[in-house]
Amino acid sequence: MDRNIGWLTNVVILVFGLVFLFEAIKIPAGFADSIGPRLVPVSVAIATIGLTLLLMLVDWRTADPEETSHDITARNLLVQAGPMLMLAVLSGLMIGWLGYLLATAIGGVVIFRLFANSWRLSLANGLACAIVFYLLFIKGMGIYDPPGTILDISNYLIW
Amino acid sequence: MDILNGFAYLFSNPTALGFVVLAAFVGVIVGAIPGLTAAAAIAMLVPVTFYLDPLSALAFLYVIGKSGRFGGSISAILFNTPGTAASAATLSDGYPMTRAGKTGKALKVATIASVIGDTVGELILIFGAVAIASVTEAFGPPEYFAVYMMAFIVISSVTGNSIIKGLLATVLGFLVAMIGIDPISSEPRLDFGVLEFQSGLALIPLLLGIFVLSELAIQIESARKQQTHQKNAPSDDPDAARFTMPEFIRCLPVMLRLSLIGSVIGILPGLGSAVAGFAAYGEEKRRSKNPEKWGTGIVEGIAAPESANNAVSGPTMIPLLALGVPGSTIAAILIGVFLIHGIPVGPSIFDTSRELIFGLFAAGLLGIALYGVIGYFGSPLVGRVIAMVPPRLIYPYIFLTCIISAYSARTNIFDIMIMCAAGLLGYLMRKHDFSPAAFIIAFVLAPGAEEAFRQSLLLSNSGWLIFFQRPWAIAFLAIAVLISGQRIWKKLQAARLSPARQSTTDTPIDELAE
Repeated sequence: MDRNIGWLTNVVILVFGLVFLFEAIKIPAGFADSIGPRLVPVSVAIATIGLTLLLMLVDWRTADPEETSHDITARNLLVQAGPMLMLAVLSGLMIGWLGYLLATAIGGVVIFRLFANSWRLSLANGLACAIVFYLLFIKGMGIYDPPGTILDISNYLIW
Repeated sequence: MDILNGFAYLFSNPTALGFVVLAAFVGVIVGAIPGLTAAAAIAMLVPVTFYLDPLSALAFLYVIGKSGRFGGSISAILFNTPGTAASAATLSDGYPMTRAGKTGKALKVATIASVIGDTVGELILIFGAVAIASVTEAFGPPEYFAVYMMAFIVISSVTGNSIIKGLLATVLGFLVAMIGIDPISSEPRLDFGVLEFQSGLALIPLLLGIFVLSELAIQIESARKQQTHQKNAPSDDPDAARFTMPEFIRCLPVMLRLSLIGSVIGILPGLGSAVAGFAAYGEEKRRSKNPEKWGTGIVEGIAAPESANNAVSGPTMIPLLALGVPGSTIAAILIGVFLIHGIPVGPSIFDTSRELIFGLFAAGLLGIALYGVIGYFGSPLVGRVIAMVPPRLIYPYIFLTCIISAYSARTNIFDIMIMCAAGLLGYLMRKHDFSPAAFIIAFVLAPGAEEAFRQSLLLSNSGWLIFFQRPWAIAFLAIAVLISGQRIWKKLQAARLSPARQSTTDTPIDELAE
């Protein structure tokens, strides 16, 4: 699990560049100007791919097996950082499913737990945070609170 | 005279005045929290400003940027952890002073140096921006393209330890910015068949993901080990903790000289406070008669980086106001706030919104005075409060603020997904020593750069030669070549001297963040 997966960044960027290149070459040439909308995206995508390949080559030639301080390990990515990013995705989806208040309450409790707080502290802080944020942002600032598609509690809120 | 009108305009708006005071407090506290940069705080608080008048909104965010830069020095001095990248150079002498029981003196030096640096920078902004705007009014697309190119070349060559990684972060930012509408024909492109992509990616979710979520992902890795900040410094010796008048007189020339250097660095798009801090520290150590004392806890070691990194703050607004080109992440956010309030940015802003701009400058000066007072009398208290609250309690609140801020930018859940994707990208970039700041600045500048490039060629009868027929365009491109050339030369020299030491001889300018 502690395996170094630092090469992952280069692979992600290379795939990124390739996907953009394939999409960019599909852009019609256009006639509004001599360059058109395609040339710049294609050039930048090619530059991305070229620089990534160059970086991979440099990394491969100068690899230092003892250097681990900045390494990305599978453990960190899958057990710690990954779940937090997944929770952010889920929180977003839950706003659509349950509305802001419930989504934030659930997301809040889980994120406090992820940061190694006790269950009691997580529950208290998560719920308090959801209520304060709801009053501040949704009620105070008038940010649109979508009615939940799965569970809509907006009719039961007394605020 | 205009600045007096600016003060009158500011003081006639109690809301704006209140938000300036609030911003001074918020900025110092947020800046002092390790990992949370002023730019990240501003990105999180942008939704609050949607409902304010233009002056209150801009002044609030602008002053947070200023006081946040200063706040970073508190945690650098107290906990040996820079609150922002800008204060990374400060800890070399700041923390040894804390260990020697001179915390009070170190914090007072940092405060005074920050206030002097920031004031010099702000005055250069006030008097320089109008003068520069009168020149740039005559600029056409070729000159603008040259400015953009200068920014791209500078940020890709000076951020991080690897030029290849700097270039890659820049082209990635450029690539992502091209999702959406073509700037000339207004047709959708690179939308991957996703409806939400057709209007392009919003800056705020991207910024929150790249800077804040990725930082939280890194912090969560150490959350289980790190229950509180370090509190093992000895208590202050009352006699040694005073910043005396002879010490101030000795430091004053250092502060003034490096404030000017910081201001020049601030004017160049793409550079920032971290670059200024390290450059100032290195330069003053080189000039010092006792360089061996640097790093042991001397007041000049705090005065130099703090005056330079805060002097950057005002001049980073010059490219924004004089050219409409944001030269820093904070300026990039502010350009969005200007546009939200229907104020077009560029040299004509001094004609169309003169009162507002000078009101903003006045708010900047007031903000400096306020954070100076907070810093001089309250820094130890801010430090104690941050030391008492464990990071594992602070970061979840930041996470939840990110979610609502990303959502509220366009009230679109899709933007939260964009923030998460940017968070993963930012995490990988930070772990692999890419510069997230280069990515973000390139993202902001790319649409303008492409538009200027294509408009230039539309205007040109001689094709690409148009960029070499305009004196200002040649000058900007020459500055870019000189800066990047000097960096490449230094890298080559370092490699020739000692290949094994190559990575350690460079200044670790990683994330500029501002």
